[in-house]
Amino acid sequence: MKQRLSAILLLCLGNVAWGQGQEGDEPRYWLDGFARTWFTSNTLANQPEPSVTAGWNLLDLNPHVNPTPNVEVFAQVRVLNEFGGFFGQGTQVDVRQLGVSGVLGGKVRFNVGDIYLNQSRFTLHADDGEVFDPWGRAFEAQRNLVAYENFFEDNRWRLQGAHANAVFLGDRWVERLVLDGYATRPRGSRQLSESSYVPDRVLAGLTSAVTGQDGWSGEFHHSVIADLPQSGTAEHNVSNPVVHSLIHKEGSTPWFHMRWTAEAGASRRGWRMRDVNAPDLDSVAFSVRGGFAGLNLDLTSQDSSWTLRASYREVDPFFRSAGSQSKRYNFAELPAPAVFPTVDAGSTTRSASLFDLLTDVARANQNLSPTLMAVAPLFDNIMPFGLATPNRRGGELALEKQSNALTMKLDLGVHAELTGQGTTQLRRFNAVGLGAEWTSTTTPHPWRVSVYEQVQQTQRDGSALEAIDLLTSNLTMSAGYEVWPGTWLEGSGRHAAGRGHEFLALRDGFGTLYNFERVELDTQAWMTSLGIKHILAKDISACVQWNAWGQGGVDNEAGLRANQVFIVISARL
Amino acid sequence: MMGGAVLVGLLAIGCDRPDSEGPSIDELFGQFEVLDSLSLTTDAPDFSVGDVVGFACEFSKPVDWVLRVVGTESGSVKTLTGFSRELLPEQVVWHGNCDDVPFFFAEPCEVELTVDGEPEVYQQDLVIQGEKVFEGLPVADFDAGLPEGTLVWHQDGGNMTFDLAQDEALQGGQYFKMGGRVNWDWSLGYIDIPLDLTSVAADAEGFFLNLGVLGGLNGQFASDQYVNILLSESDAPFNDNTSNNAADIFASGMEVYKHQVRPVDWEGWRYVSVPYSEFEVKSEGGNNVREPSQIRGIRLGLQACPFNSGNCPENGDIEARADLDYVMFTEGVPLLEQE
Repeated sequence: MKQRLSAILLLCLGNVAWGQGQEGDEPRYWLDGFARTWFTSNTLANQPEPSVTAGWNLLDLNPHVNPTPNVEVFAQVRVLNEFGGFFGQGTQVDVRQLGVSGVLGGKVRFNVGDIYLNQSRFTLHADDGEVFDPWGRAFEAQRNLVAYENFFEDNRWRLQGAHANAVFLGDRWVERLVLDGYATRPRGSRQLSESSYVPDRVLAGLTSAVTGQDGWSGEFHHSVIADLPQSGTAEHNVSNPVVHSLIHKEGSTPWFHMRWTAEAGASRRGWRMRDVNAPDLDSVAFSVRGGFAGLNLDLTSQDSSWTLRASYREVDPFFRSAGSQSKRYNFAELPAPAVFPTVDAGSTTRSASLFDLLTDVARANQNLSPTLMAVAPLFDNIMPFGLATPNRRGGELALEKQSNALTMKLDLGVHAELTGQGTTQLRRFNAVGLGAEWTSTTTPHPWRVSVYEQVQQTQRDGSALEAIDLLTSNLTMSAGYEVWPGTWLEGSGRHAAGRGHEFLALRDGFGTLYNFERVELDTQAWMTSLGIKHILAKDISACVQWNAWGQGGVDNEAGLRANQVFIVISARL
Repeated sequence: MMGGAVLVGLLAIGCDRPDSEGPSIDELFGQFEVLDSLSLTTDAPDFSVGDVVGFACEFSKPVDWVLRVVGTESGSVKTLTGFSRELLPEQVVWHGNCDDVPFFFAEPCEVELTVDGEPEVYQQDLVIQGEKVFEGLPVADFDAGLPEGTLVWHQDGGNMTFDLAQDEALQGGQYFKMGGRVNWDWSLGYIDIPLDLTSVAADAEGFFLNLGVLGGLNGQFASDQYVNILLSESDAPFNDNTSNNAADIFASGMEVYKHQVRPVDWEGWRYVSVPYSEFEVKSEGGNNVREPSQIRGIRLGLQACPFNSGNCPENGDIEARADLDYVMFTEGVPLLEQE
């Protein structure tokens, strides 16, 4: 009953917008926010485990204050009540975000506090990761929920610190100059015990971009993530500076617009060793250096009906960039899956799979990692760290064609390693992606259908032990049909399957590769969703879904199967 | 021009690139063989005079290995693990210590080496000629009775056992029994021991309290029974007011730090080590800085959930028990990790 009342309360709040005007129409302070009710019930189809339910009501209330017209102070206060909590138990109240933003002197934009940053693909960038769907439609409700809870916005990392940006206009050789800088603290110093402290970890960066004449422009990005040895007692303190420079040349013909980009950069990563008994002695250990370079061509037809992107790139095996290689999804053994971490009456540990990737809020990662994180070859074995994936040489071709209601995509990739792992033999990678989306908005009942299939092949020659021949397939589908105004019947599906095996690199705390784990990938994982989404008002929607998911061997009919009832009610206040 | 720049970049990053990274897969996943069988630097170590045992073995590839030394009489176990192609006697060394109590006697031992994924067990034997002598600052081993100045207090409950006993000593011939049944209070009793640690130079991080704790009675444990440990840095006289239950230096308002071994839910002896830095402030009577050299006394108490006032009705039929033995401070590392 309590949950029902809470849901009604949240929905009512959707109509409450509050503010107070300054002189004129500009508000001096106002409130907005977000409310969500979420409930799931999970059942295993062929296992003795009892069903599991979870859920909560939350209200994120955002007070905004304009002390002056050019400055805004923003806070986000969260009240969250887990289902099953009574009389305050299970209720959390905390400040989720806090920040100040504004413009100084009409020239310099600034943000202080919680900020969202995306610098360049090789310095600071959050790759979409393994949930990538080019159409953005499949499992939208689940993905939005995970993204909101983990502060995933576009390809930006959420950090705490300060950010400033200024634009200068010229009238001769330089038409426009942009300067952008940030200083953040991804991890604060923290006391572990009476006399040991984790040091502060800072990330700072500077970007300058110049737009010249005749279609020439350039960018220079510099970032560095480093532990501050004096703020802690750790013996090893990471230091990872990265530079990335780009030159662009734009031009046009009567048929298309084109843009050439040449880029290159380098990184160094090492650990500054600090002897607590001799603080003056400082040395760097486990230091690795690496670089990258690439050439890109973007073509867009003059009517924008098709685009083509061709690129060639080499990224050194030891190129390391914590800001761009950290993954949004964590495939380490821990944390254990939030739903059914064990099966077979608790006797078997369930490994995280597609369902967890799409729905587990705790599986997503908000932290920058100075070492390469674990990967999942079933979902992406070629570019698990985005374009900054180290040890790759190769090219990509992406073609997109758009007509009235139909959009088609074709992605091709051919890559190889630059240095073998555990052998002098190099892996070779081939990838094909093909997709289409049909959208109809002119019929009485609008509808849409999208599909994208990606096939990846990994091969390596060598001895019987070294050889690899892995084939993976990831099929993503989504469809929607407006039954009556504001009410959509929606379905999504994704199926991942593999055939072959791969060797996962095991690295120590300094990133040194010391062992391999052979993983058999004759496996599959799938998830389907069927439900109704009702848009109650412009900013309020309710979604009820029945989801089915499973994981197991490719040829194993008796794999794990589960069902889920998923309810989410969202209101943007 | 742009292509040239990229070419220069590619050439630059290609310099000094190795052919391969990481250990050889052919070796890691190849056939396993023992190239040089398990051997010991000595099979008759006398740990009392500082002898050590080094272990040597060589495999055909790097493996996860586990080496266990098991005392045939004491049942004591020492485990060494690693991932390597070779066990080097100067690196894989046993100093006569154990994973947990009981301690090794002067006794025959079996040495077992196992390799992950391989069924065979490689064995050797040795005979301990002399037990390891652990270094530290003794608080109480109870063999010669209670330490001088010790105060013992306990409630007037049922079957209270706050006294010395000889039947199940962890080390030596005697230990201190703490047990009984108290319906109305968490605290059953405690033993207060005066200390003088002014010569200690270690900081709180490197100063460990080590003690053996025996739990359980006939296979049963009182709910939420635990050992409550207080360390006092108070300068007050240890027992100035003899009308108190025990030493004054643990009273409220004194500089006292607390740690709980909670719960004691095991049967038999276990050896617990905790750095002083992990003690929490019990009462803010001083500077709240844990300084080992300032410790003036220790209180070791038994507490358990009372059955008629602590929502533990199941404790009505069972007596709490957490006996103590071989209480010692060590500097640098916990006692069982001493080399």
